[in-house]
Amino acid sequence: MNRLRIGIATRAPVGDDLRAALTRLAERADVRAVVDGGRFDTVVRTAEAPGPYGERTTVWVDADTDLTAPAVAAAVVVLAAPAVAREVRTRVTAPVLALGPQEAHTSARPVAPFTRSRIRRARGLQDATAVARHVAGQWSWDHQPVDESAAGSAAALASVLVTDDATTAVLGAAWGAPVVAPVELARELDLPLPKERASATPDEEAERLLADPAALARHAQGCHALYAREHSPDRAVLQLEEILGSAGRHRPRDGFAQPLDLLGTPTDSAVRLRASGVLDTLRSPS
Amino acid sequence: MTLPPELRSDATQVLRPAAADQQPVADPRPVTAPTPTARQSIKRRVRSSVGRVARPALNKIGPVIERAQRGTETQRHALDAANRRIDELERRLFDQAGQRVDLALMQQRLESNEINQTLQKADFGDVLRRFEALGAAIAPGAGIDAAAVRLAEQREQLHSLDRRLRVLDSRVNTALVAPQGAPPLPTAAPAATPAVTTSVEPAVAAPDVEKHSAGFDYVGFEGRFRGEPDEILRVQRERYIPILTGHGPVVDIGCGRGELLDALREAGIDGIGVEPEPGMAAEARARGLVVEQTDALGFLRAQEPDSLGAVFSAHVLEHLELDYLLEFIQLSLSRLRPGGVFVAETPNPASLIVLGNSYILDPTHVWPLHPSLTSFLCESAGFRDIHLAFHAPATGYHLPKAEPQLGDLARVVNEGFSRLNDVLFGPQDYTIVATKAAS
Repeated sequence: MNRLRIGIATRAPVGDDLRAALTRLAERADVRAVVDGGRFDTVVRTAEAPGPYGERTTVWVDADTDLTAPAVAAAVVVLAAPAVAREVRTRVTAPVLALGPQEAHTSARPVAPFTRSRIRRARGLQDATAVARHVAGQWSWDHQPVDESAAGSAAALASVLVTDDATTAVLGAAWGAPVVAPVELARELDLPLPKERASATPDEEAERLLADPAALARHAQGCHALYAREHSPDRAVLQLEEILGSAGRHRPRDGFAQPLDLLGTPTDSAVRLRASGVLDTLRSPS
Repeated sequence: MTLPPELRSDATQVLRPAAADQQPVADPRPVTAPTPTARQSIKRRVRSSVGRVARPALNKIGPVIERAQRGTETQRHALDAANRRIDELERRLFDQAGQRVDLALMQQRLESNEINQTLQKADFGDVLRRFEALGAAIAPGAGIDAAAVRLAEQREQLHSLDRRLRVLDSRVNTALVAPQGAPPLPTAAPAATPAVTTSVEPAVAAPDVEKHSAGFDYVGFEGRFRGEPDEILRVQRERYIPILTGHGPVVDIGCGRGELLDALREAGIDGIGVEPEPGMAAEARARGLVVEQTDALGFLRAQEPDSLGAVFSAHVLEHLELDYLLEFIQLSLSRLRPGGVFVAETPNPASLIVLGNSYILDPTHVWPLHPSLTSFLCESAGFRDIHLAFHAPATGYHLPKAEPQLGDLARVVNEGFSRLNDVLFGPQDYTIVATKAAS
């Protein structure tokens, strides 16, 4: 599979946020200096000056960047840290990608509510409902204190995750957990905030969601969509490929492989076999 | 793609309730096998019959199935290993992403620095060219290296002009207040035309005014070719203070700004300066020195016979026409008291480097005075006890000596070279010290 070729032509000095974003890109694409020569699918620049004519430029912006600058207007893609991306998304015409510091949960994959229930049963845990809480720095699973090391598992398998911590909320969103946080934190992170949430406490909201499976599933989907939009480098790079029109060239012949990889489907899973079978059927001439 | 570690059994173990970890309680009731029914008996008999029939076939295909299972298991292990290897490679690639980014940023920075360096070189080159142009404007033909010297010369010229203007201004003011019928005020003294050589030589008077071109910038010429003033003064102190000690009052013909008079004053020797250049004379007088703004003969004629202790001149004689020179020597003898000394330093034309270089450089030189000629003139005038001292051999030009290891050849060559050195690059100046008879 050919990886995206991204050139770097940023002006020194490079701040920590930009370096983190470039590192995220380098983890998933072929990143080189422009002076190396060759063809690039896009070139990352800062907003001081636009790139040469014909170049597909990705412009990095931060909180101080003048969004009316010609370089921003001419950009094919705008790149920013997650907090800045949320601010500039409505103020520029180019699509905005959020790429930020190292995520702490690289193995996270979205786990749907039904799947969570099945896995809990397979692991000998409660299969009906299980509420994970991370409040005031303490993790608990169904009101039983658990060690910090269980954070990932709790976020991956809980029916609902209640937290007052931003990092934990993002962790939960990465696993596709229904995350319930205080209203202020939810607004800050752009978590789904239903109208019924106006005055309810996080625990009351969690109880409401547990009583409504459909709402629970919608909430989980919204949380994961937030993660994909704001915090997922994989999604950001995929989106970059789509924008640059390189998606077809970089996608493997087996169109299901990458989405299944993103969902964390094991290699030997029957789901992959069935997906390949379906694809072959669809592609057969008869 | 493998199962995320957070979903594995060992990771989820910590979420299990404590009660689930307990061992199940053993049922105290004994377990006995149930009594088989008729239906079960029939089933058992049928299974037994089928087993007897199928066992041979199963015995034949059993190993095949086992081999296939083992092969599948092997492939499964190989696939797992390959997946683990791929995961490891992906992880390494992932972990090195930061380094790749740093490398790319460094390459970009290097490129930018190279470009900046090129631009700075161009700017620097432009600055250098401008310096050169400035230098050429200040010192045509010599460039920026000589610009400082040229500027110093120009500064000296300005000072000289300033001095002359002040003198003229003073005279004009005096003329304006002079009573009617008064004789006209004396005209300005002739402009100074000091002689200069590249050896030690202070500024002196040029008595023969008519031969001096008013358009020749002698001050600038002197400033360029004279040498360092401090060094000149040091040499004069060393050479002449001992000779002049005890022979006061000393008349310094062509004293310039009076540096030697300063030295004489410090040594406690009375001195009088004679300087025709008004600016330099004024400057010397401003320092409290006694300086007459006139020419040598004019001064000596006005002195009483046997009144002077010494008549000193440095690089004056070669500027004098013969008649003036003869009268200068004779008047010096007349005005010196018995035992007084006539000291004169002049270029040595016996050293051909002088004759072909520093002597002809100065257009105001009249005639080179061979040491023997000067001695003859002093002796003819009546001086007794005449001594010559030679200074400043041009050792920088001396021919090198041959290595002694060459023996006689080296000796012959070195002797020849010594003679050549004496003739070509001998002492550039000489001083004649002529003493008036004591009685």
